[in-house]
Amino acid sequence: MAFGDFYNDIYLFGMNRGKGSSASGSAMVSLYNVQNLMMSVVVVLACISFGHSSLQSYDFDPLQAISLLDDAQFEPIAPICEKLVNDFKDALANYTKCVIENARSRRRCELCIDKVIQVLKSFRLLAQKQNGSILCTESYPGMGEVMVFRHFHEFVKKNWANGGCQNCFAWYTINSTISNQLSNTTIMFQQLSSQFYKCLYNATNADDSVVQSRDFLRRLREVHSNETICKKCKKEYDKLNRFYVAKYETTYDKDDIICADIADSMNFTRYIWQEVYHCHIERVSVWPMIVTSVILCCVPVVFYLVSKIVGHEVEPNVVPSKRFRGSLGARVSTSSSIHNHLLT
Amino acid sequence: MIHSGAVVAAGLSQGRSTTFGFDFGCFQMFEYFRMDSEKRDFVSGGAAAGVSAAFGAPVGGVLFSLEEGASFWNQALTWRIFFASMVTTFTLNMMLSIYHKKAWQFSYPGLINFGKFTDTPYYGQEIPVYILLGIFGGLLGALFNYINYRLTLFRRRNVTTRWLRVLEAILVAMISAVAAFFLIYAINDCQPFGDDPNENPIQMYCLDGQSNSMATLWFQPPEDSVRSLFHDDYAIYKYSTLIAFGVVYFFLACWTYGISVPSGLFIPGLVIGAAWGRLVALFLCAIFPNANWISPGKFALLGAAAQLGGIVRMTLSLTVILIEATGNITLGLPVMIVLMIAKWVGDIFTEGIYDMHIQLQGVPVLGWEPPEMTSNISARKVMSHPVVTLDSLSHANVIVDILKRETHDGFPVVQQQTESLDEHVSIASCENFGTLAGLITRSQLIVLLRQKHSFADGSQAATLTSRDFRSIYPRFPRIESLALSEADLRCSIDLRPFMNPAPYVVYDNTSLPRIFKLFRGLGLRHLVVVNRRNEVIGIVTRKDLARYRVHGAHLTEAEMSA
Repeated sequence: MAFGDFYNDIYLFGMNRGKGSSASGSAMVSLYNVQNLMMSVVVVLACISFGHSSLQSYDFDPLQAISLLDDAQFEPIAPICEKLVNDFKDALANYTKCVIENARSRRRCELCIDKVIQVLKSFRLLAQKQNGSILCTESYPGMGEVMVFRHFHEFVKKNWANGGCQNCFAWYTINSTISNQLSNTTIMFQQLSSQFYKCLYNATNADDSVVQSRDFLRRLREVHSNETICKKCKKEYDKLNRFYVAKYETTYDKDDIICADIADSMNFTRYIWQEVYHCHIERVSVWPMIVTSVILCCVPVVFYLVSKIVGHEVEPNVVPSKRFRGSLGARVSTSSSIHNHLLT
Repeated sequence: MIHSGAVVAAGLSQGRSTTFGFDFGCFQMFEYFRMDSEKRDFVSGGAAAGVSAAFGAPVGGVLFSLEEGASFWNQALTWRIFFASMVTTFTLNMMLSIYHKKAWQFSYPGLINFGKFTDTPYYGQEIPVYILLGIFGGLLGALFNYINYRLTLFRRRNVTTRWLRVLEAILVAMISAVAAFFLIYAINDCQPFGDDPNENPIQMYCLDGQSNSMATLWFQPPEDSVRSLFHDDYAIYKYSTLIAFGVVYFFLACWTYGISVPSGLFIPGLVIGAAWGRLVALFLCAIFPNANWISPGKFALLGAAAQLGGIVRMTLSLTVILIEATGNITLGLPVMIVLMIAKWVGDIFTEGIYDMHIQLQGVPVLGWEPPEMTSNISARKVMSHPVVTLDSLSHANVIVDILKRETHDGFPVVQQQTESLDEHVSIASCENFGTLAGLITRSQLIVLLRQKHSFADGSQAATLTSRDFRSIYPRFPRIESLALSEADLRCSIDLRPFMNPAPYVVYDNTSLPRIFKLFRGLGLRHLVVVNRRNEVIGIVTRKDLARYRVHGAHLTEAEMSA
């Protein structure tokens, strides 16, 4: 099995997924994907249960699929193919379940990475020749345009990448096996975040259950007054915020998507800090600002008055025009006001 | 950019530097270019190259030269200027791609990048809105020009010393910074970070994860502000942001143009127009909530075109420049409509800002057509009289005296006065100065004096070649710098081999429009006025023609400065 290709598969597709999505609002992306997922789940289950599915492999010729004279589709399926298809079906269902269940947990990527790998592995197996001669795809010829397996394979890849899970992980090879792990920045972020929440729980005498509960807002608000929390946990919050801003909001390549776990978590933390406890930056008193502005705006006025007094009007160097003071009637008038304007 | 291009072209084409003291005149090529007509063509080409480099618009540059930059146009010039513009774009592209570390990937056609408007159609029902945009742009442009005019007059009269001008520039910079900061402080327009493709977003008093969009407008180079206004999403700028920004920027731009720093007008005009254009789009969105034909970027573009057209009153070249800069030819017709209407509306009130400044500085630029209501003015009213003439055999001290006393550049050469003066008096009612023999210019006289040739006879005439006359182009020495001894001054010089023996002349009753067309069409500097006996009675120069202007319904004569 070529793990190298598999690595490229998930890594490169995540990199090249196109620039359709924006870097922020990953919470919105998660919700959007959830809706997509629910629709797709229904279709997948319906199709698979009816058994009308057509398989696309990498050596598959679409024109061949439409032929109804292919008798492989009417022959019994080889047992190995049936197993592979079931594996694929299960992996897909597991992935979908995992993603939807963890949509709000702010750990979706971390918890579902194994399921994604499973989906990709099983599809890869399905698409290759078994024992050198059997190709499982021939048992599932295409019916019209529906090529369900490939379609859902692509869907899972796209969903994973667009959902912003690609950058939570770092990939490396040990002894020619691919492993994935949370990347260093992800781990660092999680540490800072847990420090902040520890401080918060200390200050509010709360714990994780409050945050995870359904009415956590009410419970967080009622636990302690705002001022002390803002003072007590400001250091941890600032550290976390600065780290996030430095890593993800300033030097970040705008074409990449932030890891969804981190973005969701940071959104949540900021929400608690700013909307629940209202720990804003204090606005500086406005009066010095207004007074300074007014004073500075008066300086040009003074300047122009001074220049009117000091500046001497440069006498225009008018060329005395030498004209023939002849008799021809003049319908030309020299308007003196225009004179003054045009004198240089 | 336009100015730099023109200046570089004018200087580079001559192949010499008097300041630094080198001269590549040994190459035949540069000598060929040392003529007024060639230099003019180079200046036009340089201006086109400047536009092409600035906006990535080579065809726009050619049309700019055609519309504004060149008085004498021919087909060969079209090709040369187009070639220059294309090479400029190519060179800039290459340099910028190397600078951005993507060498040989030519994706930077111009210095200023407004972003491309791909897939932006417009609908028929928007055309009345475009007309309104044009009208508004024309009105605002006329207001801009008027305020700038009064300010410039004030500056010319009062802000005259050098330290006053420097101080003024410092104050303008200071107030710009104060205004920017105050607006960012006062208007808390927060947008989620990431919706706003600014490289250095400023949070100010927004929540974490948001950035202040007023800061986006102020804290970028203005051309990036224009790009933000063209391409940002609908919800990024609130009403208050756009109104405050537009008004403050309008007055700041008006104040800034004309101080003693090299400041431009294109980009500030575009910024102001983009701001109020976007505002119009927001109003339309409020009136028609479900319309999908309202695109704020498109209205920002058209507002920008309207404002700039209202200020500078350029139509053809600006249309093409904007089409090329935004890469969308579909929007060419709306841009053209908007610019035309802005120009018409603006012309009711004031002139374009460049024409206004040219007039204020007293540069005698002649228009394309003669002024109206002048067909009853004859050459006698127009010409300068009396004329300073030279005899064909003049003494050197007479010539030196005339050159020192007068500031004229061309002198008619007359034959020795013959008898029968009373005959002359009866025919013409004005004094004449002798029968016309030719015309000689100041630079030629100075060359003659400098060579210290004394011609009692014409035998030494052959030792002066045309090369001697060409070699002092373009800056000939002043008469005060010539050192002439007493002996030299007593000699007499025969002007006949060196003068122009067939200068253009007009009769004394030629009408002003005809004189104007002759002058303008041939690119003359002097036009001698003669009577029926070919006797010189006056001379017409550019300043004599330029002083006739039509204001409203009156024809006026203005005094000209030196």
